[in-house]
Amino acid sequence: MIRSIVLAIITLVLVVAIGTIEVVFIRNSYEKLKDDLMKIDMLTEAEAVTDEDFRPILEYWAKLKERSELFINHNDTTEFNMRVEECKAYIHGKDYQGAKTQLSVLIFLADYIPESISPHFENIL
Amino acid sequence: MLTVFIRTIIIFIIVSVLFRLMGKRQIGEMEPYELVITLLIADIVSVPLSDKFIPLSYGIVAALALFFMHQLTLLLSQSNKIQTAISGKPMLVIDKKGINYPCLRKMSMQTCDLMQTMRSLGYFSLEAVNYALMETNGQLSVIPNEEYKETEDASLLPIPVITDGQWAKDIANRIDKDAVAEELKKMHIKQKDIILLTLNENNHAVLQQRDKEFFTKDFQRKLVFEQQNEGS
Repeated sequence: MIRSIVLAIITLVLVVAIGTIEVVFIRNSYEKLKDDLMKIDMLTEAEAVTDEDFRPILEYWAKLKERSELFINHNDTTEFNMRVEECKAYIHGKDYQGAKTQLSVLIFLADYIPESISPHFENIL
Repeated sequence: MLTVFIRTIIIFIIVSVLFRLMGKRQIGEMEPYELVITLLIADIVSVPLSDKFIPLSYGIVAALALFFMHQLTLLLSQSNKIQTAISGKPMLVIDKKGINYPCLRKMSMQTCDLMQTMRSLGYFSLEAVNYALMETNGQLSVIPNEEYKETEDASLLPIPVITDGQWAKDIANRIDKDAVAEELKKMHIKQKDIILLTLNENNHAVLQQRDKEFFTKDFQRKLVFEQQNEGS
């Protein structure tokens, strides 16, 4: 009986701890990413965005993608990755309209991805 | 491909450890909830094995959740009431009066299922058993009738003729169905009321009607044909 109690508690603590870390990490990371993307969005609006402005986002995303894939369906990170690459190409080609379109999707995904892993009623069902 | 290989090994190790901690070695020892957990774990962990887009953690956490439920159920089973609610309780399916038919129906079992289980344990006739208990893990525990072993009928194979009110299948070449029907009519017994009728080569019958005790009868008339070898 003691063994069952101990094992049950250890399992519960482990899963709750990892789950909390997952939710907090993903939410904070994607929130920061979203803020950075919105700054790029403003620059794109002003048609003043350059490759240099977008580079920090590329570097941040490269690290975040690796860690995200521990917790998030890789289809979502693959989608995000594709959009980031497309955005980079549009910015490089000074296609501000195209870049703006991609950025709006990226900002949406930066909200959607953390929501999709939160333990909300809709996600559970 | 290497990814799938490594993921499979990781999942295998984790699931093996969890099953080892659960403590059961044979499927035959499992309670209903343990069987559910076994089936679910197999299904859940197979998803990240084959789809590399699903993080491995999904399968691992799902397996941990099932393990947690297993431990929780073990703890709650300390209470007899909860144990009964989760696993059920052993049911007396056969006593000295015969088959406890209402009990059998409650377990959604048919007489032929019970006879099959008895035969797998080496008990071919209702007379061979004093008591039989259906355990919560589906196994049948039997107290045999030692006196029956000494009889001649113990060495003969009882053929199921009627079970659960229906004629048994494929008995036309072994049993004279018309003669049996006639004998039952003489005894004022309706076929649909019979939960078990068996006959052996000595025309020794074991018969039990619904809501009645079983009895045996030795028919003078030949009701069982000689066995023909297949292909002859």
